[in-house]
Amino acid sequence: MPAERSSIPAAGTRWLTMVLAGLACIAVEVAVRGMHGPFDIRGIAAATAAIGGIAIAVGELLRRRWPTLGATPRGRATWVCAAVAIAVAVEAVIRLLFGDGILLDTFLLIVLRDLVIALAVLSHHAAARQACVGVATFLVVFASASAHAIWAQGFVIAFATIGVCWLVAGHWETIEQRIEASSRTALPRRWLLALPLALLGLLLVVPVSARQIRQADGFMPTSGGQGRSAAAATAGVGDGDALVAGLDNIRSFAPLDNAPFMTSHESSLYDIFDDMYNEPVQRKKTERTISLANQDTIRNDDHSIATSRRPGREFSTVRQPGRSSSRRIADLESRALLQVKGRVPLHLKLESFDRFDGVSWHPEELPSWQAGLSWQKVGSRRWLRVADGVLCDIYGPPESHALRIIRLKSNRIPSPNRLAAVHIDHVDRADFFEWAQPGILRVDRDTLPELVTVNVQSQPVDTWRLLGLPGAFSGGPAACREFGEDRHAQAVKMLAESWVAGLPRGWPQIERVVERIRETCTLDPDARAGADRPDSVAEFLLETRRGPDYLFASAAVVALRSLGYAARLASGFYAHPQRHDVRADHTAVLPGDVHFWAEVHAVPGHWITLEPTPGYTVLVPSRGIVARATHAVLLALGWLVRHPLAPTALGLLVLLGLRHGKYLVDLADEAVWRLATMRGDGTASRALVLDTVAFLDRRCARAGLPRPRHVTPARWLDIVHGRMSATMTAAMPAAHARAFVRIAAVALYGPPGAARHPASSVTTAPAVWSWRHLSSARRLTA
Amino acid sequence: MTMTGTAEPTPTALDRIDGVRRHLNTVLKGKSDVVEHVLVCLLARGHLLLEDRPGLGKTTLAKALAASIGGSFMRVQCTPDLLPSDITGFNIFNQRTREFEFRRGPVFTDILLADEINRATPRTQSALLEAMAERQVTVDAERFGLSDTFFVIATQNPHEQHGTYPLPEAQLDRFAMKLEVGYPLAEDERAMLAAAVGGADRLGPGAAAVLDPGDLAAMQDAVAATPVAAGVQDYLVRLAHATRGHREIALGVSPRGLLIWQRAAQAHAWLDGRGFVTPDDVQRVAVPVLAVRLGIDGSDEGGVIAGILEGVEVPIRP
Repeated sequence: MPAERSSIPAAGTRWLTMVLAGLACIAVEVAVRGMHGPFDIRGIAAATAAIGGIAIAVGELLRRRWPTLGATPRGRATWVCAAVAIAVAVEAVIRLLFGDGILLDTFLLIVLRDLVIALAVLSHHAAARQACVGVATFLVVFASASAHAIWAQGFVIAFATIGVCWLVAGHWETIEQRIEASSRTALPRRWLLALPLALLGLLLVVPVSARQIRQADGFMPTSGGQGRSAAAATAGVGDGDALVAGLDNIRSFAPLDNAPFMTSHESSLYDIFDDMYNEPVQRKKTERTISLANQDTIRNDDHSIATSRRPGREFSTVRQPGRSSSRRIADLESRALLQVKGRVPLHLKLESFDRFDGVSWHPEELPSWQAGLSWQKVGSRRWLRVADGVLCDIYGPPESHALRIIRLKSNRIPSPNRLAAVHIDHVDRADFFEWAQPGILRVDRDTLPELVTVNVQSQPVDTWRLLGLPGAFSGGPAACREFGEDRHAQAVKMLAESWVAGLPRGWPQIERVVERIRETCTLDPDARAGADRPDSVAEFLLETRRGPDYLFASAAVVALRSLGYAARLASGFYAHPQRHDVRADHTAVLPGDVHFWAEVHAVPGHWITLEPTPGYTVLVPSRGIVARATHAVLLALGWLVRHPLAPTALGLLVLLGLRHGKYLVDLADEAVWRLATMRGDGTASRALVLDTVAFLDRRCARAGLPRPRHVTPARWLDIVHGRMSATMTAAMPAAHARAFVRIAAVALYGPPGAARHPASSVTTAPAVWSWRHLSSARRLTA
Repeated sequence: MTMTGTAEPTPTALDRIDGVRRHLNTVLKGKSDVVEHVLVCLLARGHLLLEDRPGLGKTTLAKALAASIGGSFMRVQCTPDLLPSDITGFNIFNQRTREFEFRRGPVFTDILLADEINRATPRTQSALLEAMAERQVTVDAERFGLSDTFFVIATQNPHEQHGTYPLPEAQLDRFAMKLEVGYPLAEDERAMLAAAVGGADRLGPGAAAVLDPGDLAAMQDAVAATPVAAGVQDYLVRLAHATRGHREIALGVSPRGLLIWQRAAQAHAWLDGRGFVTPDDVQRVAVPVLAVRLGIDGSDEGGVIAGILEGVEVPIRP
C-alpha cells in the first residue's frame, strides 16, 4: 500500500505565524493602554487587524517582487535594525515636538511589538517565522503579567494553543521538505477550523477568572496568609498567617471581621470630593432693584436644604479650574480608602441629589416613610435585612460584597444599588443603623469604624428584563421630575428628543440617551463649566461636550427629565476592575475613585443605576453561557422581526448564492477573461492561451469536474470533451476541441517562439467547454 | 501544422515509421500498445526486455522488426553452457594464413534476440550487457564496434525459476523497458488461425524493408534532439525522487534510468507527431520504463507505479 500522509501546506505555518504575531500585538496594546486608563478592546482589535492586513499585503509584495529579501542572515538583520530604528525615530520625534513621551519599559514593549510586525512581514522565510514567534512569545508572557485586566490572561491560553499548532505545522513542513511523499492526501480545510472553534468554545465555557489564576499559586511556596505555608519560604511572600490575621499588624488589607476598631485623623469624605474636583466657585449673589427679570441670569436659590439631623451638603457643578490633584498617577494617594471583596465594577453610593437649579445639585428632604429594617439570622450571622417593598422582577441573583473600611470619614455605609442586607460582625443593635437617604444607610456614630468589614448584599439590575416591564419608568418623586422651561432647558429637551426619535418609551429610550452621551461627549477631568454660565448641563451638552464625570451624570439626569422620566444624581465611589488585585482577590478604592452617576426611577422604590461616563460600566448579573446565548438569539430574532426587508433580501441572496453561486462566479470569471481577450491583436499569444487554459481549468472545477493533479490541463480538457460527447446527443465541435487541446499543449510545454494562431481558435474554446455542457456531463456521469 | 522553433518530425518520417508500425501490427495482432512501446524503445536507442511465457510471438516480433528497418537479425538461445565468446565472437587461428581471424558473434547485427537470458550464466550475461551498454566488444584487447542501430530484445520466462540466473537490478537497469506481450484476444487468435490456414507466412523472407539505410539512425538523432521543457524535466526529477522514498520499492530510479526515461518520453512525443515533450508522454512510458528497474515486490507493479504518478503534481505553467 502506498504511504498515505496528511499534509499541512507550508503556507499554514506562515498564517499561524501571522496569528501569533497578531495576538502578541493585541496583548501588548492591552498591557500598555491599561496602564493609562480605560481602553476600548474593539478599537485595539480593529487596529491590530488593519495593521495585520497591511503586513500581509507588504509580505506578499516582498515575496513576489523581492523573494531574496530576508533570505540571508544579513538581510534579516538589516530588516530588523530598520524596524527598530524607525520605532526609535518616531519616539524621538514625538518627544522633540510635544515634549512628552512614554515610559521606557513601555517604549521597549512597543519596539519589540514593531519587531514582531517586521518579522511577520518576512514570514515567508522559515528563519523569520521562528524569530517572530520567539519574540511574540516573550511579549505575550510579559504583557499578560503586567496587564491589569483579568481576561488578558486568556491571551496566554490562546497563544499557547495556537503555538502548539504552529509547532506541529513546522514539524510537518520539515518532513515534507526532506521526504517526497509517495501519495498525498490533503487535510480537509474545514478541520483547520476545528481547533480554533474548540478553543473559542473552551474560552466561552470556562472563562479565565481570579480563582483559576490563584489555583496556580499551589506551585509557589508561601509563608502563609493563604491557608497554607511552607517552612522553607521566607517572609514576605504571603505576608504570614499572623500578619494577615491582624495579630502582628492590624493594617493588613484582608477583609476580616475580627480587627479592633481604631480612630484616625484622616480627612473627611467631603474633603476627598474637593480634592478630586477642586473647591466650588463661590458665586456673588447680586440683588437687582430696578430691572426686568432676566430669566437667563437670575436663579432663585431658595430650595430648602434637607432638614435631617445631619444635613447633606449640596454639590455644585461649577468648580474651580485647574488640574485635579488626583489626575496623575504620581499625585494619587497610594493608600486605599476601602477594600472591596466581590465582583466589580461596583457603584458604592454615599449620597443622592434630587433637585437641580442649573448649577448645583441639592438633596431632597428625607421622606417620612422608609423601607423597614429587620434582623434575620443566616447561619452564624445576623443580617439587617431591608424590606423588599413593591415587588419588581428586574433583578438578577443577589450579589455579596465585603467592604473593608480603611479610612473613610463618614458614617454612611457605601451601598450598592438596591441594598438588600447589611452585616457587621458583633453589631446587631437595631438602633445602630438608620436611613440617611432612601437606599443609603448610616451608622449611629460620627464615622464608620476603621478596619471594620461591612458585608452587604445587593441585587444588580438585569437590564434584559427591563424591555418588557409593563408600566415602568413612570411616576417617581416630583423633585426628580422637575425640568426647567427656559431656552436652555428646551434646547436640551430638543436634543434628547432627537436622540430617542422612533424608539418606544421606556428602557430603549433611556438606554439610547446614555449611549448618545457616552458617544458624543469626551471625558476630561480637568474641564470645568463656565463660572458665569447659567446652565452648566446645557453648556456641556450643546457646546463643549467635554467635562468630568459629574457633568456626564448631570447631563443624563437632565436629559431624562426632559423626556418625562424621574432621574436623580448619585455620588460615591466606583470600584474599578483595573484596580482588582488578582492574588489578594480584592479591589482597592482610592480617593481618586470618587464618582458621579445617574439613577432612573423604574417602579416605586426601585432605582436603576445608569453610567453615562465613558470608561465606566455597571455591574451586571452573572449569567451563564446558555442565558447569554439565548439572549443573543432573542435579540437577533427581535431585530429580524423589526427589519424584515433586509433579512428577506439577504436570505434570497443566500439561496441564490447556494443554488447558482458557482454559475455566477463563473460568469464573473468569464467576463474577466473576455476583457483580457479584447486586448489582443487578432492572434492568440501564449499568454492568452495559458489564461484560457487556466480559465477552463477553473470552470471544470466549479462544474464538478476538477482536474486531478497528475493530469495535464490539455489532457483533462480532452477527457472532459470525450465525456461530453459520449453523454450528450447534440453534436460537439470536436475539431475545435482537438485543435485547442493541441494549442494548449504547445503553450504549456512547447518551446518559446512558436507560431501564433488566430485568436478565434482560442476564444471559441469556452463555447466548447461551456458551463451548461460541463454541468450536464457531470450530472450524466455522476 | 508547422511551428517555428520545434523539432517536429517530418511527414515523411512519420509515414515511414507508420509503415513499420503497420507491419508489426500485422505480425502481432491486437497488441498495438506493445508495438508502440517497442518503437519507442527502438527510437530511444534503448534495449528491450520481454518477460512473458513462450509462444506469444516474441521471436516473430523481433524478426519482423528487423525486416522492417532493413537490418540484419540474429538470435541467441541462452543456455547454461553458453560462453561469452559465443555472444561476442572469438579469434580463431587460420592455418592457411597462419594468423588469428576474428569470427564475429551474434552481437554483430542490427536486431539481436537473446532468448531466455536468465538461463545464461552471469558471466555470459555480463558479456551481452556490456555489449548493450558500450555498443562495442573487446576480444583479446581488440575493440570491435557494433551497429549504430544495435537493438537487443532479451526474453525471460517469469514462471520458470529452476536452473536460472536472475538478472540483478544493476544489470536490469541497462534495459530501457520491460514489456509483457500477453495472450491475444479471442478474435485476434481466430484471425491468426484463419491466416495460418493454407500455409501462408505472416512475414516471408522476402518482405520489403520500410526504412532506408540510415533512416533509423536519423530518426534516433531527431528523437534525441526533441526539446524538453524545464518544467517537464523538473517533473521527471520529482517522480524519480518519489520512487526513491517509496515503501514498496527496493531500488528507486537511478540517474541512468532517469535519462532513459526522458529519452523514451522524447520518442513517444516524436511518434505522436509533436516536437516537444509533455508530462503525458512521461506518464505513458512510465510503466515499461520503471517496471524493469524498480524492484517492486509483489505482482502489482502497475498499481504501485500508478500510485507514484498520481502522487506527483504535473507542471501547469511553462
